[in-house]
Amino acid sequence: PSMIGRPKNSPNAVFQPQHEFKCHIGEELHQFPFRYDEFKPIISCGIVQDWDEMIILLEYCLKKVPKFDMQEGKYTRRVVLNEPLLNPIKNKQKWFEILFEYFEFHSLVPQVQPLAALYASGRTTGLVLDVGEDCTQILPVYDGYALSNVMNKMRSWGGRVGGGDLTKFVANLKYESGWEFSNSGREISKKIKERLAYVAPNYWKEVELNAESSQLSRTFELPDKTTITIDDLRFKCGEVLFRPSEFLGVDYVDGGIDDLLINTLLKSPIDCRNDFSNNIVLCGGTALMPGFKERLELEVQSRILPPHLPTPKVNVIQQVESSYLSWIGGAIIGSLGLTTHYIFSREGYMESGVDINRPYSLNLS
Amino acid sequence: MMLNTQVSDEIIQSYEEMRLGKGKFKESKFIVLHMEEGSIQIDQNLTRLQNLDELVDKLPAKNSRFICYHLSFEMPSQTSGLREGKRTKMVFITWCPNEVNVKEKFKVAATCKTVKAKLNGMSMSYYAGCKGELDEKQLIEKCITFIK
Repeated sequence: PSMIGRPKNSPNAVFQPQHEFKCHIGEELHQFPFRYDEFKPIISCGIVQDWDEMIILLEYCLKKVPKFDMQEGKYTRRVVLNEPLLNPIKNKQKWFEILFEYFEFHSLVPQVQPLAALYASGRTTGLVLDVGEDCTQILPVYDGYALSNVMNKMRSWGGRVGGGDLTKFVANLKYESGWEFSNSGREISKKIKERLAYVAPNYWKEVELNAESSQLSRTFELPDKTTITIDDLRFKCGEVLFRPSEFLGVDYVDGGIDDLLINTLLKSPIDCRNDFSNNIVLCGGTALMPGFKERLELEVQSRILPPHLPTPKVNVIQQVESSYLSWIGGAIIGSLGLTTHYIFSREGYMESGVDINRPYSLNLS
Repeated sequence: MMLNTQVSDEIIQSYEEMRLGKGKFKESKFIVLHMEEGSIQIDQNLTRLQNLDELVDKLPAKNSRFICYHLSFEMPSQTSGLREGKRTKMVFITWCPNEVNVKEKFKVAATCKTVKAKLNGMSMSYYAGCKGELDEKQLIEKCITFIK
């Protein structure tokens, strides 16, 4: 996770970070998770919240890249900026500023995440549904061109749906049933979610089934070797994606993921709809949840009927690499010498400042 | 996003021959292309086959191919407003099974547009990820929605 935690002023040196950055970053947080005043996500909904922390995170990541020497590499390397949809212009400009002025990279290729994911699945036409850690986005692409007027991002008054929300949901439900995990609970809840949660084809049937018998319950072993039983949480967790307003108690104007997908399909031109419904590419870790693919197919098939969808055929593609598909795609863009529309060089930036990305901010593909 | 690749004149010439129905490729229904280190080559073994069913059987399960297919079909009589009769269309089929690794897939997607831009008169492009998705009936079905 893109998080940074700083230890409290503890005399115990064990908890002090070992490296020069004076804070624990990412996975390191889980080693001593209970020692922090706070750890907040640096990126929320794809938008960077705290730029100082972001720089630390980037430096830390660059240190981990094999065969990369910061002093030597920075003037010659090209960077691919894999950004979410509808990234605010202020945010983009800040990225340019940091990558060119602070890190002094040679050139920059901005790229939207879903497009990279679609290419990485071998298609140029399709609808990408990206259910990430903290945001959900949909982008229809036809023959390599992103239909930017139709794209969608899940919005709400003060929240969004993604894997992180499911984790929080699990933690809250466990709290209600008498289990209180400390700060490290986030990690435990995440494990429960990843191992046991699934999406039910029919929610109410699953509820009945659970009330009658115990065949749905599974046991989960906590770090201190006690076991807990998880039953209705398993399918409730998956259901959050489809009915977030009910489960998370926040008003989601666009409804669940299925509503978002169907809206996007209906908004796109009717000639393209079949191409999109046959090539729905899933990406993001949450999309790997068992049953998610089947449920989506079911929802789309039962709710869009032939006049709106010429032939009622829906095909959702789930790949093994789904969870990192957009990042793999971004990495490949960097490694192949692709001709993209937008390559920004450092000299150009130095000449015209942040305004250099004006033409690009208006366009997508 | 496009990946620059060499499309040789041989491919363009044989494609034109197939499309216009003259020369060496007059009779053939399709030309199969494959990617090789920055250039596109004709896959001679597969191009020699007679019809689509045979081709589908022989297509490699772990490799990608581009197929230029000469589709000809009878317009069904029910379609209102359009005359019946024989139609021919050129279809560009991308064969990219799920087993292909991600980098290869990305190359396929990025090359696809470059190749299509070189070949004139492509009326439709089609993506096939498994053998079930590739048969003449589905191609015709899609083509008809397209003509309307």
